[in-house]
Amino acid sequence: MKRSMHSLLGFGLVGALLLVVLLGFVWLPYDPLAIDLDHTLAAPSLAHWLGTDEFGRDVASRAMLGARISVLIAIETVAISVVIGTALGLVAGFLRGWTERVLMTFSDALLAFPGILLALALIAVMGSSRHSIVIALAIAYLPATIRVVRGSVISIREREYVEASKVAGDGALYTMWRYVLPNALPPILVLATSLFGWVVLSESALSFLGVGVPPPMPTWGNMLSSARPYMYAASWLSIAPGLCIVATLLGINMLGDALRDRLDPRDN
Amino acid sequence: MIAYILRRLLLAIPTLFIVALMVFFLVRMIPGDPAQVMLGEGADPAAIAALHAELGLDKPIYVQFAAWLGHVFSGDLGTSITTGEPVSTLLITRAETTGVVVLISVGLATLIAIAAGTVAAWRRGSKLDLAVMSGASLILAVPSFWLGLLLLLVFGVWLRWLPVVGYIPFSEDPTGALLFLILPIVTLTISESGVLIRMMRSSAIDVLRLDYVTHARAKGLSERTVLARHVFPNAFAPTLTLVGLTLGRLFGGIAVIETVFTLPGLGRLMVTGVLSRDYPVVQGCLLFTAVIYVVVNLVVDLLYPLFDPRVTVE
Repeated sequence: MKRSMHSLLGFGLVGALLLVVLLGFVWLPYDPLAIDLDHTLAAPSLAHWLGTDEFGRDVASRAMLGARISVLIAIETVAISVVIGTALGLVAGFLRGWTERVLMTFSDALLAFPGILLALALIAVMGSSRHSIVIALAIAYLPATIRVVRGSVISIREREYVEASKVAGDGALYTMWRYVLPNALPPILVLATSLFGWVVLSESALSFLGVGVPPPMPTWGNMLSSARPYMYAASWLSIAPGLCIVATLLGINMLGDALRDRLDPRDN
Repeated sequence: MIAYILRRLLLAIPTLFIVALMVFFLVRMIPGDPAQVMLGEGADPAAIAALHAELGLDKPIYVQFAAWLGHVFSGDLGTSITTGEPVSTLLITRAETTGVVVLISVGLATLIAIAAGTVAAWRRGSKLDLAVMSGASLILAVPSFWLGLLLLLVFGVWLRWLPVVGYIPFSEDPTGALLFLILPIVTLTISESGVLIRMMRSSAIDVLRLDYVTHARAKGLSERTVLARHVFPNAFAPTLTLVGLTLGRLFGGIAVIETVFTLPGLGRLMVTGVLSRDYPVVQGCLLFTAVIYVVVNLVVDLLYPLFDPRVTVE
């Protein structure tokens, strides 16, 4: 009962987020980039539900566009990280030996850089743009994916059906694709969900630091960073984007927990 | 035991070597002449030539790497392009702020996690457990920089109890510094306690199921003694590992928190380095952070057998 309430809330929050993103493609209250110097730092009102920022831009419209940017960045990052990480983790866990040792040494060395600092350094090299954030975060979260996939592959490769496939003379690639990968999918799916939340959080942090998505494009992170100087004059600017991040992360985390309960019977 | 320590130390060496390799090649990955990139667009050709000679750019790449590694070992991490100060000096001055905030916060968060996690596990399924777990889940969903902004809004802007901007170095005036550090510390403590509470609770639940806990209770020991003497010591090891990982991760800079509270820490140094393309500073921060991370985790691994006697020396 409590569990199902939990996952229902998770579905609700994530559903609402996706709805806002989709709605944003067809309708936004105002042009999120339109500057209106006559109405700067206006408090929330009927005309501007969440007020306006220092350039008179509508905060609600910017938050909606920000949702789209965050979600798209997260989807791209998770896709890249999971595809490459799964391939490398699969190879490392299945072939073992030297291949595994070399891959894991590099992966562990990457792990020694805290995710956000590694992303920062990569952005320093690539310059800050939407693409470099996706690439930087995908690389930063690669070691986690490789670890998880390798971990489950190591136990799967000892099962009878994998043995049978080997005995039947199947090539290593075929065995991995046909028998190992499908059985490794549940933990990968759980990981992808958590990863989505981490990426939303990291992207907002990078944007807050000023090295994320460059202005004038709004993201929840850079909205919060530009709100910082106006804490006295317009405190509402610091509230709404933060609530958006919290709602998204709560939803994703609850969904992730629900998924874990469904797919991973060990915890129950 | 000594063999275990030596083995762990030996295992850390290849990791550190690859870390150094990655940090070195990071700047080499930038398209164009590294000296030009490091000195910026309008750099003086003479300065570029000098840096060329200093970096040994005309020599083979492995010679360059060896020379760079040699400099690093002697504590020379180059000089900052923007301020002209040695990077190692910058790192040491900035490490103080980050170190003070991180050590106090992680210490407090660990204490909170031990208390809340153990009690929640002990009263599993109760309203108290639900409250602790909901709190921890909420913390996991709140970005630390937003929590910091909110606290700043409440205590700095609305109540005016604490300063919004400014900083006094801890080594000059500890009490004065605390006024500026109290909000960053509270923010980081709350932010980091979420995961630790969950970890402590789940391992305490596992330990509470074990026979020796039932035995201890059957002996007539008070619940307090059972929790403190039998449950806590055996349930703490996984949390300790997590504390180590957290410390290692945070020492490299709590960039977002330092940005919210305008603290001159390592994270801020790295971010300004990135923004101003001050590559020696970026390299120095990365290397420093990664080395600390590896060392802290090494220390935790070495402490592990002390807390969990089941982990015997392999």
